[in-house]
Amino acid sequence: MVVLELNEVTMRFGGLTAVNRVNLLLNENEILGLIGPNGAGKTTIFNMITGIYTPSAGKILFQGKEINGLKSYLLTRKGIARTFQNIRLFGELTVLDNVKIGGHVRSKGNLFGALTRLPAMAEERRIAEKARSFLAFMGLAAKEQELARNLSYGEQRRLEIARAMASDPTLLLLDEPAAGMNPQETMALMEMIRRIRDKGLTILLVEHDMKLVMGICDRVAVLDYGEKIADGTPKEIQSNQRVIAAYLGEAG
Amino acid sequence: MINAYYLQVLTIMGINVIMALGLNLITGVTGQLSLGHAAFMSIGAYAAAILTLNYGAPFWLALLFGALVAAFFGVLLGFPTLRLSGDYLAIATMGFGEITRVILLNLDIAGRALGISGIPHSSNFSTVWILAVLSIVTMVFVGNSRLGRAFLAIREDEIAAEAMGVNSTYYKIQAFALGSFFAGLGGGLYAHYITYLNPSDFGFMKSIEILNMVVLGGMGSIPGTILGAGVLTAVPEVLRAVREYRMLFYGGLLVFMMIFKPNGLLGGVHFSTIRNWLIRIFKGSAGSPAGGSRGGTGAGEDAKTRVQEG
Repeated sequence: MVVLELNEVTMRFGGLTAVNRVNLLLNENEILGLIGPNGAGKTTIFNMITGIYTPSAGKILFQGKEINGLKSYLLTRKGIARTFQNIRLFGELTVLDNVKIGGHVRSKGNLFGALTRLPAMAEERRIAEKARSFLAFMGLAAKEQELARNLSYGEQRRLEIARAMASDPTLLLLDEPAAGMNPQETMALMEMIRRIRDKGLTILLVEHDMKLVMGICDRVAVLDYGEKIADGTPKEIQSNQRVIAAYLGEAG
Repeated sequence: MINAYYLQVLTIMGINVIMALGLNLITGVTGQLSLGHAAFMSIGAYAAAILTLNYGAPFWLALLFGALVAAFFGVLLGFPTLRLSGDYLAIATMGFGEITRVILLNLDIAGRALGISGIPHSSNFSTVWILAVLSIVTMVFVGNSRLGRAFLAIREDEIAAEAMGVNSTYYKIQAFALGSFFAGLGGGLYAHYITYLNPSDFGFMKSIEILNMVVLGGMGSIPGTILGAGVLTAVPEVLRAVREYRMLFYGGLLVFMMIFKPNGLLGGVHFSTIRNWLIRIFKGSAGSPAGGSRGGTGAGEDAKTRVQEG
């Protein structure tokens, strides 16, 4: 089943075409890596899928339905969750509360619930339990009462993933999840991403770390100057002449 | 018995606690700087007073009506302005405050510049503090809920909050409505305690006074806001002894506080923090709360104890 489909998607900023007629398919339970040199349009595509930009042309379909221009909180409700390239945690809140907020769309509870408490209590317990399970999954169980801003860099990145997963997404978008991580942390992260996929999620990741991309992606799409120049298995991509040229420059 | 003067100061203190808690929800918890809180107070005060005076409504009903009218105006103001953020929102709320004052100054039913006098003296120390305690409990409950977490998420990072599925406009309007409700409630109590209302009592300085309570106490902290309201109600009274230098000392205190304790007296302190302090005091170090990974004291404690409440 196709989870996400980009159909001739174009994004123009004034006279600049950042993304030009890109087609992309994401199948259920697949890990797709999106790579390309800086300025190739990876983050722009990311921002279109997550509702920050509305495409100038073309269609984005999620589970067969068009999602062009939907606000990000609605996309989260539909089942798309993301992490941020420049970590955006709720720094002054505890690690546990960060993940609990991730569960916002999968829980109810309004002012009335907050004031009467009784129906909310069971719900609160369920939210906390779920949040703890995601923390445990990302290896952060011992840190639940720490403030998010006090975590190490690698832990913060893992917390972002835990928070995104708490919204029970179908599709998880990871924006440079390994940025700033040391090789050991990256290895551990790869293992975690694999385990997330094994839970049945579909993952789109933008990443510069080739070892990570080639190591865990089922398929890799390569962007250059806003156009998709290749799409295939990591092996095919590694030997693709256009990709090599884009990364290393043409041989004179 | 406690003398009448102290009783009056303590009653005003209770009213200030209620209003400051309202503003704390908007500014401290949700992170939306409002400089027009006194406007909501005046709306609640006038609405309640007009209802009891002109329509003979019972006090409690008038009080609730005043608070609801204030909340309604909170929503009304919220729709156009909450797309704004930071400084822009602050200026817009300030403008709203001035507009409200000028309208009250020209509204026949509000007595124009003469204001409203002869309001029945229906609130007293106990009514005020019963409602203050109820307000505190409400705030703790809200802070502990899904609703409260959504407010906090917006304060911390609006883009991330939206990405987590929090509709920030919707929740900001709710925060404004709730905060204004408590301002209106405080206003109604004030009207029926002082028995006289005048638009000049609800100017920009009044908004700043309430904001000072929240900032001095510790933005986002319920115990802090209560303490801030207490201190800033008491200080001007204590300073009556120095007469004309009163405002000088008052201003000096604020400057001193912001330099040496910019997070406020109880910044980052919640009821759960205080409970844990008490546990530690009474049981010694053996009784330190479960769940923490470190046993240190001081700054690290915030991280451990800032779990649940408010």
